[in-house]
Amino acid sequence: MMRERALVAVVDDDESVREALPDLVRELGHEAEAYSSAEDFLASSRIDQTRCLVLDIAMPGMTGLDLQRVLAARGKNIPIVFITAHGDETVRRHLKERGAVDCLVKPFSDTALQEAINEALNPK
Amino acid sequence: MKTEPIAIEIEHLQRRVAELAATNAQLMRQLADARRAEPRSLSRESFLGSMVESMPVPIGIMTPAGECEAVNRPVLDYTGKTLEELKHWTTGDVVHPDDRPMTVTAWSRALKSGQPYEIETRLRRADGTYRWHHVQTFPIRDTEGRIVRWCVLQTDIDDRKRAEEEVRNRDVLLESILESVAAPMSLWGTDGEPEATNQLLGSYFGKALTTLDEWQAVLHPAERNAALERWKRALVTGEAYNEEVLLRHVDGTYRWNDVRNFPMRGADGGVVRWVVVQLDIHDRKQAEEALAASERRLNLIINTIPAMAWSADIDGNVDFFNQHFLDYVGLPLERMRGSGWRDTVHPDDVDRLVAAWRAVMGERRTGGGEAEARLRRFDGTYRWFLMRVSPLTDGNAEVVRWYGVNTDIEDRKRAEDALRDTQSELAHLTRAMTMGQLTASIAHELNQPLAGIIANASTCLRMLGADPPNVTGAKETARRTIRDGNRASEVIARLRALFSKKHPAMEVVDLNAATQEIIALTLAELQRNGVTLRVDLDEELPLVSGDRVQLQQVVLNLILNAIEAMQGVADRRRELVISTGRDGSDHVRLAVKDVGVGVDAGAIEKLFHPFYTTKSSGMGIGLSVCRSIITTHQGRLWAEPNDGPGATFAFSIPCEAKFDADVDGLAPTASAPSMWEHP
Repeated sequence: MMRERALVAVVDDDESVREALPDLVRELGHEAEAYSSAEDFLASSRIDQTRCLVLDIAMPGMTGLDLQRVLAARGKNIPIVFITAHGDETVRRHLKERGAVDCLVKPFSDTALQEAINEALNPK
Repeated sequence: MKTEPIAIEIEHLQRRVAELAATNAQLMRQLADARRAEPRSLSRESFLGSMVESMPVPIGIMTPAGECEAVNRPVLDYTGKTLEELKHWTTGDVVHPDDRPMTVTAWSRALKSGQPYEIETRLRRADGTYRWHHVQTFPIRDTEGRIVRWCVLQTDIDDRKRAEEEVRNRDVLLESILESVAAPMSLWGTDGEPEATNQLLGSYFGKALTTLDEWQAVLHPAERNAALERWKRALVTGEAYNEEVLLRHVDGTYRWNDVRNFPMRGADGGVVRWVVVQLDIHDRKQAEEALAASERRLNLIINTIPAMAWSADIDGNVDFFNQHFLDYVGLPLERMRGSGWRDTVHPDDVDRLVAAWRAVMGERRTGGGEAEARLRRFDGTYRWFLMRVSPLTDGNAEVVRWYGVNTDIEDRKRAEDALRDTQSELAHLTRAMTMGQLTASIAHELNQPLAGIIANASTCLRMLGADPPNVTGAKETARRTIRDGNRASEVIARLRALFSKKHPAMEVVDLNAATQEIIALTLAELQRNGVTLRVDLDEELPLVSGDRVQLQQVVLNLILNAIEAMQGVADRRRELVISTGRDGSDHVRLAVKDVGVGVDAGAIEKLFHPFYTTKSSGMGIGLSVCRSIITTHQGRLWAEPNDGPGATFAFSIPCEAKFDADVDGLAPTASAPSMWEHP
């Protein structure tokens, strides 16, 4: 069966991440779109098609957490996988409690990303 | 003085007078005999005439009326006149004009009184010279007592007269010399007894000293015997001598006198008299003793002070070293004199030191000067000294001598070195602590490229594992992997440069580039704290000379402080402005401006004290270390409140070009540019 490719959006101010992650997401079998800031994502026309958001926490201007709040306020219930360069298990637990699918601490493995996206796309 | 020939002359005259007196007596006896023989055939007149004629001394016979009746040959020979001319002696030039009135008067009086008389008068000799004569005039009476004739006996006493006058003059001369000498003075006979003293001597001792015993009485008892011995010996040897003796002044005190005893010698070289002149040197001697004592004290001080003192003549030839100096170098004065001291200066310092002294002394700098150099101790070790030299100037502010003091600063130098090491250690420690603050940022800086690397590598593997493999995509992801790996490596390199280096090193630094590196390192931290950064670097900024890492440490500290100051700010944008620019013509300035809690103008300086902190955590040592780093760079670091919210921390350091210009400008002469530099 040819499953429809889900759109996964990557929002990160770091260029390396913006280049690397979409390719990996595509290799995992999904469609990928990269945004350099939360504002760019909010301005995009594909929010409603986005099935999963891979979101950096610390960004200049609007942070990842800010975006989460805005989306919730707008009733956009997009599953979010946070990524951060300075997180730990406490942060991860805290974020999951607040509705995030997961929080991946950079650098993370492809399987960790795969599992998180799969969980986002196929909630239990 | 020719006292002795005169004395001989006098003696001769006395003998001659005695002879004449004897002759005279004989004449008288003959006259008496003649009177008794009157009845004899020879007439009285002819007898008298022949007798007078036969006398070998000048004799004249006068009538009772006062007329010159006869003179003998000696009279005619002496005067060169005829009897007729001599009869008019009262008006002619026979008698000296000055003596004539007195002579005539005496003669007139005798004629009236009939009494004999004697006068001294000058009589003209045939050659026109007047000579002193002793003239005895006495009457010759007959048996009835009537005066029948006057007899005039003339004795030439001119030589005696002159001798007497000379003696008299000499006595006056001696006396006037005695009185004209402005010091107590006395004349002594060869018998060792005083002959005469002047008035000054009388007033000095309160009385004229007329005997040797009186002299001994004014000598200090302790010196009496020795002084007497010296006097007796001099009387024997006839040699002049000086002595310093204590003599009792009229006020009863003993005072030092410089007594000079010297002999006066006669024509034959024999001592005829001693002259003794005494000079009261008591005050001078006391002043000399006080001076000597003062000099001894000064010497004691100079040789005792715990410093090395020296002194040089106006041309810089060092001619004095105090004992400490000589003890230190372990060399005798002779080896150190002139320029011998140069051998004790460290070979690396000697040229510089000599040039420094030449500049100071050659230009006669009234301000003196100083230099630092190492001097070799007696045991061969070298120690650092600070050498200061000051001029001694005369009334016209002209340099007449140089005085120098060397202070051992070896310990200070070592302390300075130790302090420098400690400062480096502290700076390093502070950097390490700063790194702790930056851990999250550093992790972020590294984790970003690592995230990219792992994602790219995973993608690459997946692309290659696909069927068919996506080689093009794999190549691209591999390329990115390498790029991110390099990026991570750069971060590590920067961190290593910043945190591993301990010892400061001066180099030419592009402050803008150095600042950019620090900004890169703190971007994550800024981001994490929601701080917006504005960078305003002057592209024309001159290079500076300094320690790159330490300067970066200062910038890093200022940025982290600014971030911290803005942590509580919620009502405005947290903006940080980092700017560089010129500060005047020869300095560059870097400022870090925040909009944080600001600084209290009154407490600004406290910010730079070690261990002063407004933070609840951390040691607050950062700003103090920053300031010491900037001070080492001959710059200054300060803080000031902004017009709006927040504060600005800035530093200013000399730019590199200025530094060079400065060295040239400060150099006293082209040949010795490093003269006043601390080695």
